[in-house]
Amino acid sequence: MKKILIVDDEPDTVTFLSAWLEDHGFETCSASDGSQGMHAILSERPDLVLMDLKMPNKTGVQLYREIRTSEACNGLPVIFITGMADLRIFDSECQLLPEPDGFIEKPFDLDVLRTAIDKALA
Amino acid sequence: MIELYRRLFDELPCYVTVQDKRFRLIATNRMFQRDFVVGPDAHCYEVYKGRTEKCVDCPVEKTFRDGHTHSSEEVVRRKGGDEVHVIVHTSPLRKSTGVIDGVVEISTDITEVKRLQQKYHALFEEAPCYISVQDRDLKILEANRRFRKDFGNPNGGYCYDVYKHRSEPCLTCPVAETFQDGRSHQSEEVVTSREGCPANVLVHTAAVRNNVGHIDSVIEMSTNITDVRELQSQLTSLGLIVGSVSHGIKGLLSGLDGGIYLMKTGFKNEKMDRVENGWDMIQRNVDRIRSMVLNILYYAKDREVYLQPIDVEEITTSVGEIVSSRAESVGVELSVEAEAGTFKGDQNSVHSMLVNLVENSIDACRIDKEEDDHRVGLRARLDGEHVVFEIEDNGIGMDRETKEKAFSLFFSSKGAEGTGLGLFIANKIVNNHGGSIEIESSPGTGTRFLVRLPMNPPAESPSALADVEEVPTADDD
Repeated sequence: MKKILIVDDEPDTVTFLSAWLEDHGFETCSASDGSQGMHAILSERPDLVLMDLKMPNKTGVQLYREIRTSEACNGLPVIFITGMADLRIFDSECQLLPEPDGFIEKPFDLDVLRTAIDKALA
Repeated sequence: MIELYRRLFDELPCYVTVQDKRFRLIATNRMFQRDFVVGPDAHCYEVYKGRTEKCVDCPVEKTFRDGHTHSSEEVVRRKGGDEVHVIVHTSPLRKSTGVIDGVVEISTDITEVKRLQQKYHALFEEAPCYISVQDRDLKILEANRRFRKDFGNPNGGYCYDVYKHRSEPCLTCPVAETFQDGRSHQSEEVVTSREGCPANVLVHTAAVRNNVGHIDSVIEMSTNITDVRELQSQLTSLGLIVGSVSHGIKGLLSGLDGGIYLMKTGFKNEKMDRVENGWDMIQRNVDRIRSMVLNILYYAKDREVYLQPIDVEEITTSVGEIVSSRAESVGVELSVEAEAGTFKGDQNSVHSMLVNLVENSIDACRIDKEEDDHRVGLRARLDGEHVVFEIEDNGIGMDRETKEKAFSLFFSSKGAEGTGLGLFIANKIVNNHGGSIEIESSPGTGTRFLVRLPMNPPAESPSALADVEEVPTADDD
């Protein structure tokens, strides 16, 4: 069973995604900000990370940069789920880093999310 | 030879006198005689200053005493009555035995230099902007009148402390950059006056070099552009609000989608706890949409408001009920206490203001990872002619800079979701009721908002409430 880590500071989003993912045969774990997200990646060893961009303590952009520059997270797929339509901040802060495995805009279409997850885990 | 020296003495373009120990003028040159009345046995202090006794700090006296040259700056009065600024140098005249039997005093007219100095000093003092001169450590060496008026006398204080109440230099500092490369630099900053009023300033710097080209200090000129920025903000606010609100709505829609999903799958699989979770989620997000819509209404102009009696216990309890599910969902213990009584206010706006402040406190707990046991308290009491609401949390807290800018435009200290309307609107509502709002906070210990509303708001308050002209922060709640 593939394990998916959800990193989001909005508890309702975490509850929703956890329920939906578990209904579709995934194991889930969660973290409520970027700092906790990194700890969870190292302790839970997920197969995929779904995360928000705008979070307290450590933003999604900062966490993504850490993931992509850490050997312990080598090849870990990351999909962003965000309400931010303007992704310029991502482009400017993550230059020279590989593109993430997807950007899903809130409110998300579950079919689109499923396709992105399957593609990232393939 | 003596004749040559006599001619030189006479022709020198400054005032030259030779004085004895009693400051009598033994000899004077032509320029001195032209500008001053010299009688027999005249004393220096009489001729130069119209005094009856010697000056307190006399360079001639000092030279007689120690045999060294001395100098001073004096103001003397010529025979026409006009005052002249002179710089005075004295030197001893010795006999062959070495005994000083006279002192030569040369006074150069520096009135024009003084005039220019005063003119430029007046320009410095009266310039309609903040001017300071700083050293390499960013210590303020001099500041003009407007600067002293708004930020106090710097007394050798540091720029970052006086302007921003920071304990260390700003990350990018135009003064430091000018010290580094000698060029003029520009930046825009938000500074806080000694009264705690934030101001947007446009900063320009320039190097002040000494005669060998070394940069001794940097002059910093800051123009207050708060009015310009406020106008600009009003023009751009619509776009910002649309962006901010749509970002908030996206999150709320996800929450509603989540609630619907949980209810639907709960019913299908006959899992009632899931149905209940879904229902709570929908209720919570509907409440948040309601609160957001009310905030948008308060931002909009021409909203009709009504002053009416408000029951203190009723409104406090109602706020507590609305925010309790949100507090519970993020593990925050909420306590609500209220004294019995009534006051006059706009029911909807006061309610919205309290919800905004309590939700802000819940958020401050939610993003605080240092503490496990989080509490938010909402208390209401009567205090003379006022009703006082206290909203207290043990969340992340604010440093001085954050506290001062908490209600400012475009200031955010949190990365959480939100419309950015909350604290701005809360502050406006309190102000428009003729009340006050204080923040007591320190990082790591939590925050206390103290709202004081008059029992009977001033008569003009209702119209003021309908005319909210400033724009909210991009994300301050």
